Amino acid sequence: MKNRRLSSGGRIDRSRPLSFKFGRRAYSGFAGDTVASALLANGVDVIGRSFKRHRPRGLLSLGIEEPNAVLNIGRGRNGQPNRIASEVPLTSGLEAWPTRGWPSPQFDLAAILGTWPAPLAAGFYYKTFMGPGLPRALLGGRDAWNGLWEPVLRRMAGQGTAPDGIDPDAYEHMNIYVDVTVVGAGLAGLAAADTAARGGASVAIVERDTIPGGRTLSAARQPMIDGRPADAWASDTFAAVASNPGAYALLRTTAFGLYDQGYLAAVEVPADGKTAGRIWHIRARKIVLATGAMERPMVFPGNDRPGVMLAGAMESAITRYAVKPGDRAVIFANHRGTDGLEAAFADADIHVAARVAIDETVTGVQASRGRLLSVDIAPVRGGAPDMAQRRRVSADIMATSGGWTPALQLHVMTSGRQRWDETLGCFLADGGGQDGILIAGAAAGNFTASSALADGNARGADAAGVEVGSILPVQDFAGPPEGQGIPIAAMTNGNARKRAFVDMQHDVTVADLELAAREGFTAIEHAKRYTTAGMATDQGRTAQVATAAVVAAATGRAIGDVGVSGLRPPVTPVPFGALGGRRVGPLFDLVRKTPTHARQEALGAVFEDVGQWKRARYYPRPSESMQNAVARECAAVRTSAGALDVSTLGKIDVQGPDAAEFMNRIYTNRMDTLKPGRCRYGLMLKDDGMVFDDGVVARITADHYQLTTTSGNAAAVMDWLEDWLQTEWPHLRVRLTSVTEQWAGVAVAGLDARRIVSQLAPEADLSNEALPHLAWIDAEVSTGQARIYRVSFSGEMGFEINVPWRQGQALWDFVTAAGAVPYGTEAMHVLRAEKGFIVVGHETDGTVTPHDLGMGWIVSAKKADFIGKRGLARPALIAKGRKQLVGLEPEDASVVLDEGAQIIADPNAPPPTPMLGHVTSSYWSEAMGRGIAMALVKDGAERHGERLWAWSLGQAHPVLVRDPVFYDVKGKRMHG
Amino acid sequence: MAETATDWSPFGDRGRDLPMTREGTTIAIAETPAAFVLQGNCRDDSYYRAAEDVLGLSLPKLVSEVARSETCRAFWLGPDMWLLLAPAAEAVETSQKLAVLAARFLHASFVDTTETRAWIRLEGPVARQTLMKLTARDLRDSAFPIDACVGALLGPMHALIERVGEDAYLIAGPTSSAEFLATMMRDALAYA
Repeated sequence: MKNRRLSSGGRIDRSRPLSFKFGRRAYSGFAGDTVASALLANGVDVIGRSFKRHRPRGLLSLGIEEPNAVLNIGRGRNGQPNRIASEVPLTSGLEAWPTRGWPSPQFDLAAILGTWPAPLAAGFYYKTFMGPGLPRALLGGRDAWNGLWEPVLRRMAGQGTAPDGIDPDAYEHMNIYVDVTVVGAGLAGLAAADTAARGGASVAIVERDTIPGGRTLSAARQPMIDGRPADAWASDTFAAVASNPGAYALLRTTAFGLYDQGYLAAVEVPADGKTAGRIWHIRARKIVLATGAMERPMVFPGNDRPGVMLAGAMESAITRYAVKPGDRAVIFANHRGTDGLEAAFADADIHVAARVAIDETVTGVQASRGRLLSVDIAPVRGGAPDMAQRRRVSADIMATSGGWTPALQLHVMTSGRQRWDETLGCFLADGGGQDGILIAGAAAGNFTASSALADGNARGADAAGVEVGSILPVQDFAGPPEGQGIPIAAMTNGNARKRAFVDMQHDVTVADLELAAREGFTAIEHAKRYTTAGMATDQGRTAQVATAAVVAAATGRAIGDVGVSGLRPPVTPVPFGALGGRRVGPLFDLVRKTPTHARQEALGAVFEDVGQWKRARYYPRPSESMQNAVARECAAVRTSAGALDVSTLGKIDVQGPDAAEFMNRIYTNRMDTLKPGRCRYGLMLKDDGMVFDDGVVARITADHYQLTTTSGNAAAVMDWLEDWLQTEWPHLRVRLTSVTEQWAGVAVAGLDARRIVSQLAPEADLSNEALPHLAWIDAEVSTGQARIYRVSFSGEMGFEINVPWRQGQALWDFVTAAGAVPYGTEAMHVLRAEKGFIVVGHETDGTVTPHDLGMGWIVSAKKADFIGKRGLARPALIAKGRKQLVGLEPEDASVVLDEGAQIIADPNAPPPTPMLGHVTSSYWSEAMGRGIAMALVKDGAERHGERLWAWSLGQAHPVLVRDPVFYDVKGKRMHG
Repeated sequence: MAETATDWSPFGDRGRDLPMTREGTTIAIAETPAAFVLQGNCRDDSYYRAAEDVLGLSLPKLVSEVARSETCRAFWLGPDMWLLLAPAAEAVETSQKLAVLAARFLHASFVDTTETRAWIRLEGPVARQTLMKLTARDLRDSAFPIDACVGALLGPMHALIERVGEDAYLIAGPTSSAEFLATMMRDALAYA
């Protein structure tokens, strides 16, 4: 491969050579290079293969719009797919891998697809491979798409390789507020930021490049600003903006999303190496989008061949990176704004073999081994190329320019509109979007240095709410690309249209778009989805206008009437690691622990997540299985006493003169009749009559209650109650306070529970007479003050002792030292299932009423109203055929059914088999000596004694339907 | 008892990692004050006057405002809701005062929530930068001056952030998540 580095010039640091690898070969570059420029300098023409047709592709551009050079950077856990080579600064030891091409991009066996384009036409996914095609038996029981085509196509068409392990790099987030955010540190952005800062505004300026200056960094001839070269002015102005108090001047930072209320998200690749990426959440009153403009390619047969590059990219290669991309060039542009390119060619001693005139077009190119050999040029007569006059020009590079498209992605993301400007030949912002967003410079169609600077000044002043200051004198080098036409050259024939690429990243051709139009996909959004034009990771930056132009021509409309498609964040691929920031590993999500957590860890507890809580599921002893541990814990509760940490239960304090009325409205049963000192089980419904939550309500005084919620639902219940109180019943004098973490709780249950609690509270009368089931007392215990509730969730005599949170561990220590055996949530579930007690989330799923659960007894018929009362009265909720809670006994007592198993009447019935219900809870019950289950079954209350089947994962077990209460049917044990 | 209640810390093992100092900035466990949630009708001027009589401070009426007396301070939690903080040693006395206040107004209530929060102090030159990694709240002087307090998401956690000095903050998170709070704060300071 040829070394194409020029001996001098460029913005590279030749004193800092850097070695890197592309594929398996080693190369070298310099600090200041990107991976793309370094590959170009090393003479690497073919950087990858195209998405569908596996055509050899080289660099089209040297900016964020690059569609072809999408690489994997790094491998293994460090691998990052979807990186744009021209956006990755070269670093020592960097490894870059081509996305496609096997065994190599230069020689790719799948290139056969490029010679056979017909099946890969628009909509081929929808038209092809969908039928059964091959017997399922050959495909592991799957259809042809899932079993064959999809895996094959994925392997061939993938957009990179996902990391194979946890990303070892660190990322972080930062939140900042400023008065004005400026996106882009080109001339317009710098002028805007400088003006706003001078006007007293705090400013954040965000630039994706490593140095400020925008297009001036690549310009062969610098415009002069106030007597200085533009690049020097840019550097000085950036430094001046950064020096203002409260300013943020961020390089290597790409704005990728613009959201409501002035919120901009940007990702930085920090130069300091402290983190691999930093997401900036920037909130501002005003945002100036000085995002520049993207050059677009001409569309002609073979326009995707390596060696065909955007004119601006060629100028950048020579001027910024000191790379001579070739020796003989053809220039093909539809405007006269190529002065800079020609100056650069002259500087690099590149011979211009031909300039395609305005009344000519390119009808084809010839290439060998991915390298351009010659270009066919023909005059256009009557709107078509005159092939008889065609001439062939020898050239190894070709610079194309179809004009410039303002980069309005962020504007469009906020629902901003665009309109076609005939004079400038591009889409411009046309209102819509959010308030406070201003567009400046080339993004607003001001393509010269002087107009961009003036516009930036004006927008910066607007943003800061100040007058425009003095305008610096600017001497432009080149004029604007006036008269830029639509970048579609005349096609020679139907076949050539299949080689003329509009969207290079997704391999969409002129022929694809024309086919889509013929098939009725004439709206731009439909054409986009049918052909995938604009749907790749580059969001069709170089394709947008050409797509609209082809659709316009195919449908006989004006390009402005066709318009361009919408866009969504992110503007460019953002690493998942950066989005996650520090919310990984132990910081992934909030962890809530009870005060006994350390003790439970010491006991070897296996924890489960209940909402954000860590709850002990069971306490295995050495070499003890989960089933044995749970059986032992259950037996302890049934035969002596067990201790369960119930600190996680949600607790809400309810106070006020109207507290009783409020409680009556939110529960199905009456709470106004509850006497102080007593408690009652309650059920809350949503207004549709479905069970929402349950818990125990204690009445403290006439106008003071405390209720408990399920552990995972506490916040939702609090929100629900506040919602009703604040929006529906603001006249009720009721105050709610969450006290979940004010009180730690331990439930002591079993025959021996009273003895243990008596030791804890020796002065308290815990007799059935003084403290019957569903009563509570305040008591002095050895840890201080406590509230003792006589409640049971196990069917055994039970006491729940609540103490201030910081005394929870001491309470736990006391009751376990006194003989209570720790039991976890798994044993709790077994114990409650033996009693037929429901668990919200097991027996309910948002579609279950109290009547479905056989709990009609808890729905008051006397109360005038409660949440859900009218919902419950709907005919469908009282009609026959609803699923109702039943108990199930597998005929084989040793079977423990799968939770979620389907209940069916006949396992041998031909499909589709009617599904009667499903298993909601299923356990091994040591007390019953068998597997037990609960299920919701169609008309279940009428099926007691019936034989049904529970089907799961290919196995069906016969079961007896029965009442869900398996143990202590009369409930004597919990009453002591 | 194997261990007295006062031996237990909601910060658990993470408490042993504190205080942590980096870049001249320190994260340390702060003393837990007695904390009471007060609720009352914000449109009843007599309630404000009575509260001032009983507590010696004027309950704040604006978002992020903090009122102070010699020993107590009150945060604005909502239009009808305040958090009153008092030295732990004055918990009983403060509770009695609040009972007197609540008894005078049908719309008023108070609830002891001392146990529900764990407190951390963050102080030093990169304290604000550390918090900016964790919260989307505007922490600039203009929006969050000294003696202001806000309820905010700190990472995934709802916390109270009180600015007690130029570079000093008190942070209160849920007691159950104190270990998480300590881990998160340490991590943020490590990258500050």
